[in-house]
Amino acid sequence: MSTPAGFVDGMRRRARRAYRRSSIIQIVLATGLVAYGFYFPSFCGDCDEHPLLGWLLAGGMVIGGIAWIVGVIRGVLKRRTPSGDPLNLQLHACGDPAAVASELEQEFAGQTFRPKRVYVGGHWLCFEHKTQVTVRRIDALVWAYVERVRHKLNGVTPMGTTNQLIVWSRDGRGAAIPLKRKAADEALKTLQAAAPWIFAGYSEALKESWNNDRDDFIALVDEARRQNGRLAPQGDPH
Amino acid sequence: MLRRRVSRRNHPLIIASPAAAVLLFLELFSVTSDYRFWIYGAAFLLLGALGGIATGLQLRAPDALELMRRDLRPPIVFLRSFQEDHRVIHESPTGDREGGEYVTNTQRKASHEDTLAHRLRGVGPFVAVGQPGEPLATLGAARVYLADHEWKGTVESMVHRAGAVVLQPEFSSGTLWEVELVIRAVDLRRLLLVVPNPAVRPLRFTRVRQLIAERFGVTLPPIDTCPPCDAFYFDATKRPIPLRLDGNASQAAKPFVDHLLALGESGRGRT
Repeated sequence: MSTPAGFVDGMRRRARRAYRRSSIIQIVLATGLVAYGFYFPSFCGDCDEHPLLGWLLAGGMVIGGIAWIVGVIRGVLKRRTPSGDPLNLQLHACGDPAAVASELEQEFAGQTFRPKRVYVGGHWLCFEHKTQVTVRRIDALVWAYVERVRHKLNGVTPMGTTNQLIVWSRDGRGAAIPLKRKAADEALKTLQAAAPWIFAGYSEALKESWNNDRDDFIALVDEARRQNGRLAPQGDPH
Repeated sequence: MLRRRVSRRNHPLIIASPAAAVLLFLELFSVTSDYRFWIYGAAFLLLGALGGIATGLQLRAPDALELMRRDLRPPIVFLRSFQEDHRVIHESPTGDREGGEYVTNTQRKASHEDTLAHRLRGVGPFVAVGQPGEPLATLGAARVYLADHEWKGTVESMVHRAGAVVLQPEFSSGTLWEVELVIRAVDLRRLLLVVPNPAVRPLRFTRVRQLIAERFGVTLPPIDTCPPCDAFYFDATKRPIPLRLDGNASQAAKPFVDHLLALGESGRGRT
């Protein structure tokens, strides 16, 4: 598949680089696991008392490590084909990959793609960070909000908060876009300006309506769009 | 298709699985003296025991017809869509989510059946039609399992004898038929209408409100003035009285029970 050079190419290059890095790290870790399993019986303190358990653990580590390496290699080979390319998968979900790539080029013409930055145009939303590639047609979005993720060590000790912009499409596909707090709030505002008909913000009623009454939820968004109106703010933007 | 419980054949497996898990853990205890293993093991056994108790209660759940033979008071009939038995409330929005950080999405049962059963058993046997093919009866109302050709007749007969009906209107053909039956056969004062909470599911509440207005000729409060509630019952002037069913189980639905007791035999057995 030939795609125009520029924005989409930049996104593809970044994604490939991130996947390459991730694959190398995983192979190093998996090789370490195999080696650890291989030498485990020689330094296992309890293995004389429980030889069966020791051999089972060692065997499990070796087999698990080899399976991990095989999985990573298969993933690398799959991603090298046009149909397995992570960006192509995203483009394919939005329509013909070549046509979508061309639309993206037009939409973000003159812009250089940079990772960890959310691009919201008139029709498209794009994001890439590490191995995450997200491309969404703004027409298909129905709900967006900022999610604050509270991290806890062992489920108890607070370890800070991170933010992500969550967007849901009418087909039930969601995307979580990790951003700094300010960037997430700004992205939500930009998205709301580009698509005033979507629900922006989070509330218990929106969550329950999305989970249980999705057809009614989408019908309301469509109705707002038909009237070219803006849906009333729903609860907290977060 | 025969609407009948198929649990009998599955009973040995249901009991054998937790028993095998317990034996496996006891065997693992023998290879370690680490106290952490004992703590995790005890927690696992506790969870298993709780699961076993729940399974035991389901196995012992009475059959609705048998219960009505034993308890001669007019039954309280629970009419709802089978999907409601399994509907859960997720803590977060559901769907295929890509990227970002994973957020745990715990869930809890959405149905108010347990709460209703707790209160309404005091007024009469609380009965419902069971979902065909479910391996174990859902806890709450006593279930009767019926074949396709007989369920309407049996439900009709139960509703005619009922002391009260709990109706959770939905838009499936079976539930709409039940709505029509209730309109024909039940005094509105003996009806508890379980609705989606307008504060939590406003879109579905609006549709149910419209259905109730069309079929019953009764107007529920509009969404902007309706207080958070899970059900309505009606006084002699057909005025809907909102009711909360979550929170304190011993107090929930009590106003409706008091209302039924005050009614006595009045308005029962309408055709």
